[in-house]
Amino acid sequence: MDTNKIKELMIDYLSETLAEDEKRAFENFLQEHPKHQKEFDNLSSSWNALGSLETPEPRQEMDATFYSMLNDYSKKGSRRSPFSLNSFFDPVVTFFTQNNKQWLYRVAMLVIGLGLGYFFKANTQTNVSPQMALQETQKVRESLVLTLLEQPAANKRMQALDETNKLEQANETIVIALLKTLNNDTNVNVRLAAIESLLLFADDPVVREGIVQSIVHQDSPIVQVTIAKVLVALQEEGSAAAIKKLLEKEDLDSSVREELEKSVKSLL
Amino acid sequence: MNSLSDNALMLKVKSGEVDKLGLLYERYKKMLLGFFFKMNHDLEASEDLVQNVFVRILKYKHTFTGSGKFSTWMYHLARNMYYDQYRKNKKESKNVGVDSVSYKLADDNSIEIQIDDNEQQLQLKRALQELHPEKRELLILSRYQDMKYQEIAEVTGMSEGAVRVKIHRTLKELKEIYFTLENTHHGY
Repeated sequence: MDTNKIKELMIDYLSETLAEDEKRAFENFLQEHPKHQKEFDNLSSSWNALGSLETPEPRQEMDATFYSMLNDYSKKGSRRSPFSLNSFFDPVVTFFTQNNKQWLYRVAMLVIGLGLGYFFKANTQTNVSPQMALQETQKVRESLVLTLLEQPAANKRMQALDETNKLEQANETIVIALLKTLNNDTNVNVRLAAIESLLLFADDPVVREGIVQSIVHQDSPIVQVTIAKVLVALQEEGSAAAIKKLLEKEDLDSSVREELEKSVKSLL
Repeated sequence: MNSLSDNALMLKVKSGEVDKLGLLYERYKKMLLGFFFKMNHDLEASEDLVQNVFVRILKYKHTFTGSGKFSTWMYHLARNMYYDQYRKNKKESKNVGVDSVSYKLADDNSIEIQIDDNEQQLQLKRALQELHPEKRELLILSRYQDMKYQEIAEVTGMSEGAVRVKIHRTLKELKEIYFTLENTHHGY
């Protein structure tokens, strides 16, 4: 037999890619050729020794970096370039085509804009305390968030979630609106952003409970995995039960299932 | 159980459903980390490389046609990434006369953070690091990455036969290095 062919067979044998009959034929060949048998034994010991080397488990930090990168990328993808021709023409097109809700939004924005203008103008002329000023700004911002969350365009709803970062605190209406977005929004990126926004108010038990309950309603793998990771981080009571309930779904992706099972283990 | 194939998922990523990349990440993160870690023995650098592979997948998603296996395409990107980094490190460390600063197998305990090695395993790791990266890569792809020789051939641009013969030679070389190191260690 050709020397290279023997070498190839040795490697195939070690990596268990030979069929049963080929395997037996090669074993017979080695028995008849002690020189090759010795060479094979040497290779075999190195090959087996290599198998004993372990690989470290991916750390949670690596997952966190990945998902934050993916989230940023998704966000960028959902934003339009400020210089594109489309962004110039779109408002003109939508002006004529959008439904009444859009009109309401435009009117609301105008009123909020006027309100802000009036408020800041008034602020310079009268002695409004800083505390009152903050409260007013908070109110205006809350209205803006709630209005934007109702918009049909996903980028507007994303804008709403960006606005929540500027809120000092969230009242019940905002929390309910955010949880509603997390549970019902049709856009995955918006739902992911809603998780981020909710986490800003994670010291509120209603928020934590809402996130726990939400996982069962999610159908997107990335949202399911993200919420599971959040629940592990929060260590909120009832999380393991909620994830287990999701695990009962038969149509879960196998990778997600694996991830969820890991999360349950960390929560128990 | 509903489990989309790697290719189907990647085609979805290509068409704009980028959240599907999360599933591919979950499927391959451990394998990729293992590949890089066995190549460079630096956990932090390996995690960065895994991250960069997925950034590059997003950047070059338009080039994925679905005609070949996703994993083959991904390992193409991964090894290019590794060799770019390797060359960069080599260039940077040239002045201090060390083959590779970041890719050395340190004698301190930094790489044994999570793995409790015995003396033989440590020696074997040292021997692996002594191999030329391209030879080391062949052993890693065949032994740990669950890749068929045909895939390794595609990823490395060699013929299937050449892959097997090279693995054979490399295993022999590894054993020689191992014993040389052992003799040096025991003061022979």
